[in-house]
Amino acid sequence: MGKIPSRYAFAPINGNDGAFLFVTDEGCYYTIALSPNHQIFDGHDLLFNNGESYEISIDRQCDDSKILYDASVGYTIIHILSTNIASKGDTCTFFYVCDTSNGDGHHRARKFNMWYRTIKSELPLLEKCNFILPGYDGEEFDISLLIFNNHPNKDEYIEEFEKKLRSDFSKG
Amino acid sequence: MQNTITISNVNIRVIDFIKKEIADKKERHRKMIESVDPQIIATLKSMKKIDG
Repeated sequence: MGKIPSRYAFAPINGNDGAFLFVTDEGCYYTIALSPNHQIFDGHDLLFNNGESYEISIDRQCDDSKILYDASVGYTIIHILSTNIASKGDTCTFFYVCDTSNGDGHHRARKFNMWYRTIKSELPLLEKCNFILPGYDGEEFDISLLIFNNHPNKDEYIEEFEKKLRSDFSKG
Repeated sequence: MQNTITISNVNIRVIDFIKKEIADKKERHRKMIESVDPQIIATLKSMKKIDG
């Protein structure tokens, strides 16, 4: 694994299992986390997946005037995600909710999709399902579910995940 | 395989929950950075990126 090399050096964040930090040449801080046992799956055995359901979250803290296109950022994120997804094994599932707070959710969804395609070249059994949820004020939310093709409950998991989005995400 | 499913008539509580999640996530990440030893940040900054 790890055919896509990291361009930036990164470090695990102590006290936050599955979280990593790197700093770009422009001084932007990127944090990538694969957080287990997300509360939305409490009380739902299939989606809880024996504690092997992870939320992928990626954040950047940066002076907006310093944000320049930097291909190394994508390579580093892909490296961190692919090595960590691979290390957790093919019974794990992963979901990603695009941040829409600055109205750029679709752009993030496209970027995440590009990263996924590269990760899939290393992990060919990793599949992606996309869910689009219309909000009540015109915005839309993009949610991606990553699941391995050989997950023993793949079809049921996807079906239940969709049902969860249709019903009430805030309850178990 | 990649499917895209558009979910219509979403429960308003689902949207409120997702919005809160997005806001909470930003705060969690901010706290993560604050928790990192400044020495580690200095080391990361000092390391040159590998050109592809």
